[in-house]
Amino acid sequence: MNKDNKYKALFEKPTPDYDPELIWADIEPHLPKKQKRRPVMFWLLIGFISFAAIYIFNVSYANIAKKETQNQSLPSINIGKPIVYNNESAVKDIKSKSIINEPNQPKSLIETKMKSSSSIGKSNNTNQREASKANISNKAFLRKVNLEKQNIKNINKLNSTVLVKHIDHLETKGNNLNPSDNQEKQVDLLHTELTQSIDHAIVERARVIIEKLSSNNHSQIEVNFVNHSFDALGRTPNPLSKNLKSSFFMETNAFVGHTTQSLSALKSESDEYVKFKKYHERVVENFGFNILLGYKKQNFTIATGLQYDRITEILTADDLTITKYNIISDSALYLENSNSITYLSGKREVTRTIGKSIISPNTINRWSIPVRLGYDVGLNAKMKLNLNIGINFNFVSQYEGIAVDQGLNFIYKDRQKLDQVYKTGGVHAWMGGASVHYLISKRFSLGSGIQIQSDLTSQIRNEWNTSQKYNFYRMNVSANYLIF
Amino acid sequence: MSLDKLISKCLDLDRVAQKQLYLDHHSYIMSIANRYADHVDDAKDIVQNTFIRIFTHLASYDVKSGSFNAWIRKICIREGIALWRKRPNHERYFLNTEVLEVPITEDILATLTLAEVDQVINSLPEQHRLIMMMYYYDELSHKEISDLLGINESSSRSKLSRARGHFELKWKLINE
Repeated sequence: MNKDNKYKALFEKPTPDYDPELIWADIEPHLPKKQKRRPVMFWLLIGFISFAAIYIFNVSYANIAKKETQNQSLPSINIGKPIVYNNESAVKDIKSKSIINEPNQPKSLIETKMKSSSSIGKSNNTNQREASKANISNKAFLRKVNLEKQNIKNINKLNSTVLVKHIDHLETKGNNLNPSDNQEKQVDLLHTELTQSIDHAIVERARVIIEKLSSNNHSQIEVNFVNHSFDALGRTPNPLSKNLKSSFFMETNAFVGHTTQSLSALKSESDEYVKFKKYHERVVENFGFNILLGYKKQNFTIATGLQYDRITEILTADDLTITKYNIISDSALYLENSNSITYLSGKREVTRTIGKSIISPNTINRWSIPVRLGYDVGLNAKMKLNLNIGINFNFVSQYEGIAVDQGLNFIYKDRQKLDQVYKTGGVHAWMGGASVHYLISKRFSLGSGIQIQSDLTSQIRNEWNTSQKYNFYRMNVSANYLIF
Repeated sequence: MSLDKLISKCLDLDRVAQKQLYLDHHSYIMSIANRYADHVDDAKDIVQNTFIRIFTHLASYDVKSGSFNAWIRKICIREGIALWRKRPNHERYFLNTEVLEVPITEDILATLTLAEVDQVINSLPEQHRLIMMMYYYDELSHKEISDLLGINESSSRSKLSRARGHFELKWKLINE
């Protein structure tokens, strides 16, 4: 047995009996607890989903009742004074007002900015710039760091190398530096303070700590910071990115909400149509989604991509055709469900009413290219508020539904074929909104918010000489992923 | 579950993972703590403080800087030293005045049994014994020892040499 091992053997000591569970019971209360997820985002999301579900359910196609009476003749009799015709009179047909072609089915560490090593007390231009950026006067900063060159028992010099890491995992700690604590513990506590500070002003925090250390009469204090830059969400950007303050991101949004429209006649002859449409038609819900690719520099973002909007209008009207014609009959005619008998000598008049009530959802599908500018406001390390404004360049919109002709008669379209709505080009819209994002991981965040979108240019329907604009008020949920 | 995964879950404040980490390493920590403690209650305190510090500072553990066991070992030693510092001064030096009053000569050492060797160990000034234990058992360098105890590196060397001198003689006597 060599010397070292023999000495080692001298200090071997049998482990005493103990219950590890009892020790764990004493440890557990001191451990940091998992922060409960803020309920705001959760309830906001739940509220949005509930709102969307109720809204869509209420105006969904399943609730639209179609009462089709097409091909059902409703024989009726003109009860009253019988009409007597001369035998020689021909059957008089009253032409229908319109021809029914077919039974149409109604159819969303903390900028440390401190670079490399900095010796407190030495003039350092970098420190001055960064300290001033952190709204801390460098002179005041240095003045408050009271360096006294005294030889301290057991401590001549305190050199602390502190690596600032994981600033996004922050908790407050109330460690107090005790002058009697030894160097090791003070370094340890310094490290603890810096890595566990919830305060974004890391330089301010360091100043407070260094004040405490300097009050213990240390002759020299050297604190080394590693430069970290964080975005508004407190995320450390990909180290592959040369410029740590800029990055690319992908975002997708889904929105649902209420729509209103403004409709006006371009010519006086369209007034009746406008009245008809306003009376019979109401715009209801809209929903859509977009996929964006964006670039972020500091707090500013710009993004573009592709957006889809679906606007639904509900058309409610009666479409009736009344046909009256005479038939020749030599006998009394007993009619079903009739309480009277009308006897006509030779001829009688029969009135047939063919018609139906229409409750039809008509839709407009829009595809557009959004260009959005945004600004992130950091709320805390985990959450940010995103404000954005932008414009949508609509390049195709198609209409599907029931149309009305110049005579205010319904034209039933084949729903398989979509009509091009815009004869004069796309309709462009501006949009603005605000959403709150919650950081799920370093790169991924979820958000929810509100958005307003309003047509800048009008939808011109040449055949009716009308001008139409839509306004959208909606909620959105979004997912954002930082690419690099 | 691998250690890396376990540590990752502990960083997410998963209580189950934290307990698992504790259960995997508590006996190792206790074996170290026991050598720095006079009795089992002190050892339990050291273990408790060690794990609190481990979980509090787990984010600062870097796998590149060394093994996890080496990292927690250092924390435990620091806690042991901290507990030692809190003892009243008169307890820091355990002196068997009867032994020290009699100069240790070869003849006297030749008569000592192993049990008495233990007594010789315990008769050393606490710091000497600590240094000896930290150097040989915990395999720390003089620099690390001096940092932990707040003494000069040269002081650490001289105290170790003095402590070792006592045993060199006796070991020679026992093995002859």
